[in-house]
Amino acid sequence: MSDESGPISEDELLYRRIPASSGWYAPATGLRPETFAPHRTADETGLSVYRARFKSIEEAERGRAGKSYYVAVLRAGDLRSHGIRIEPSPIFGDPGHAELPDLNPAVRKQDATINAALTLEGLVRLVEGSYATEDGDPVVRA
Amino acid sequence: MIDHQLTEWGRDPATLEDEGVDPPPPLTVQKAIRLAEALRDEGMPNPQTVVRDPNGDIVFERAVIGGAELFHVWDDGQVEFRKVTDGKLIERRQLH
Repeated sequence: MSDESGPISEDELLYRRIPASSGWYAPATGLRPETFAPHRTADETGLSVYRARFKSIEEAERGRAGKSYYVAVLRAGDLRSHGIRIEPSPIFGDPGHAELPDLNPAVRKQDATINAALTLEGLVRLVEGSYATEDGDPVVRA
Repeated sequence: MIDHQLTEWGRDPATLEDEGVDPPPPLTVQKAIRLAEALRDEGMPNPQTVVRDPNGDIVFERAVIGGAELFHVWDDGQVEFRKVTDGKLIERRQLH
């Protein structure tokens, strides 16, 4: 088993990228649970996060050219202690990609998913950014 | 303020698209405008926040003691009321 497919330890930090244009985070008003609502196609197999072991926070902040992003920082053990599963899901060019498989579009309207998003909002340890992605920055998958 | 925000979103939704964020479809924007008007006509306190979710749904929120009350306009046109207290969903019902 390759390292990136290996289990995620309790102490691992995870990054969730937040488009600044979404309004889901502002320093003055804080974070909103929509940050953790699954997208109908981008999160088809689970909500995407990045393992800090494989990516710096500056790399995690890079998204579409011309757009700005924040990054929310979570700890894997905090998620598990609240019953939220996290699994490695490495993809080409992004070995630290991981997913929260229980947060997917098939269940996005269910109480459990809405409550999980509220729980995750409360588990965020830090929000960094925002970082403007420039033309020519490496494109990183959502 | 909410009406103005929604009108702006409806005017040029493509500018709202971002990574993992769909713009609200015109029907969702129209439904949200009608909801804002209905809440105002019924004398309800104005929502303090209007926000999009990743799938183009629109959410109104107002803070209450210990939590928040939300109105969610889903992509299928359904509108629901939710109440959140201490970070937990405690009430949820469909309005339309």
